[in-house]
Amino acid sequence: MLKFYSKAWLDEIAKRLEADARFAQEGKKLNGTFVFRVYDGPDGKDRRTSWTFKNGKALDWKYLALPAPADDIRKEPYSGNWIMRATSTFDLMSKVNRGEISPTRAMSMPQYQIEGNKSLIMTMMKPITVWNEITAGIEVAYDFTEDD
Amino acid sequence: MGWINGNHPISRPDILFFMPTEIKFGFGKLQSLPTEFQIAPDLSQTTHAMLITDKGVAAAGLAEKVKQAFAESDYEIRVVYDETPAESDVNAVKQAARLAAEHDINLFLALGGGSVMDTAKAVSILATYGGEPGDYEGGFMVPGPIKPVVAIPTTVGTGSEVTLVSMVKDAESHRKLLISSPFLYPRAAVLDPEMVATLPGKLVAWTGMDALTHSIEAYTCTEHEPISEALAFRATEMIADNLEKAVIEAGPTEARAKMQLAATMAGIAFTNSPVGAVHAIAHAVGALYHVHHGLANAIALPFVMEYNLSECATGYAALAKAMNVAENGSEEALAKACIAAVRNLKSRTDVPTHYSQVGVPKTEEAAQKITQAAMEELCLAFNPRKGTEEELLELVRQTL
Repeated sequence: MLKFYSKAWLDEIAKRLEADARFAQEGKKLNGTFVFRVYDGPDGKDRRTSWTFKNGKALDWKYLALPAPADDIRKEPYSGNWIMRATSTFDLMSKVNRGEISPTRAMSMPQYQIEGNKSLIMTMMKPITVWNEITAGIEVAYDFTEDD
Repeated sequence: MGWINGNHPISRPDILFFMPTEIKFGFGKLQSLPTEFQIAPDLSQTTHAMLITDKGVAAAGLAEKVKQAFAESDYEIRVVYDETPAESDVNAVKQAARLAAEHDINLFLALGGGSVMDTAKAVSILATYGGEPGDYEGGFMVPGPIKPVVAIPTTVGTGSEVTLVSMVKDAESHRKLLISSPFLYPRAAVLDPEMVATLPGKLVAWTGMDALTHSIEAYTCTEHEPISEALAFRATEMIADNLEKAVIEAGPTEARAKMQLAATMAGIAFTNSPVGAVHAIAHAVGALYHVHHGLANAIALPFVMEYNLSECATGYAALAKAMNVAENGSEEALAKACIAAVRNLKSRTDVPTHYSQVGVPKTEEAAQKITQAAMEELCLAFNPRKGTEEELLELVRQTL
């Protein structure tokens, strides 16, 4: 089974986004780079992923995993070229992906930070919601311990 | 460095400020609307109007004043819907949308408070694109421009006349559907003091405190920026100076006119610099226990300010000046004086201090239910202090 926040999981998301008819329709407003930092994975690693979209097409997706606490990830300055950067723990991101906590609730929790222009993010809420739904539909393992 | 607002670093990496609504203020402004619409290129042909209001506003004779203003004009008020409930409701929206379709409506006149204006926005969505309110729940789910809504507020607080939001209650789920889209900004907001002349003092107090909540939350939220800060600060000052007088003295008075302007300014501020935990709690209390929105905000406001004090002492200290706090002192002392000034204004305008005074049970079960519902409110993400669930629960307990 795919591991949550692994490179293989990212590749699977990209594949499903490409094939999903609803995302093809709703995702057209998704533009720019979105960065996610996920700390303290079950294998003792911090992770950083980034997605770059143009008119809803994923042009690029990057993955980095380093032993926690990884300064390269945690101390990376925010770039004005990004649409947003979300930062949270692996545990909280897992709960959101499993549907145990709504994204709205997660956003108000101390363990979840969002940087960027929230007004601009709000304009993309519809495609972001579809993106999240497609992502949550992928069966993944959360309690892995081996490296990935 | 500025003596009142200071010289803080810019708090956002980039800023988007948007306000497309035309604001028309004036004593007797209602009378000139047909002429002003005729010379507006986008309104000159939208002559099939629907007046959306509620029973109380109609009974006060305000709907009749609107009808008279349009009587000798090219604009025909084809149907009046006065069944809007105290809290905008999915069924009311659907019922009014059916009427709009039957009468080929292309202009909506929303005469009332927040519920009426939110209803009119949602009705216009359905009249333009069909479907149900739930189809458009969330941010930016409305596909394009809607038929124009002209908002004529009859209260001094909601700000809905200048916001991109429609809040519609779904009785089945006990939830409030939040529809947010730049297409929901009303085409125009008409501020005519005649429309608030007969508003009961109690509602002036509750809706005025709603406006104060908008300005204080907009000034201190995580997304605050200088343009909204300017509007929020001035709105706070105008409310502090005029609310008590506006409560006491009915009529198209200067105090009530200033409250109208302040409420609209606070509305512009919070639609660009969002509200926070006060609204998260108030939305939950409103949905669960049917407490008037302005009153629900008024009760939570000072408790949330104390909760947020560690994160926004600087903002509250500045707002203390707007709230007429005379003394100087440390930032923390001024911030606490600002909270005391809010409590004092509430006391002078007879606004209850706790939810248990307005029908909410003072029980642990109620506190838990309010907290759980508040945690699902998006506005909580913009609150300056990000607390744990237990901290929010403790805050809610204090408000009961």
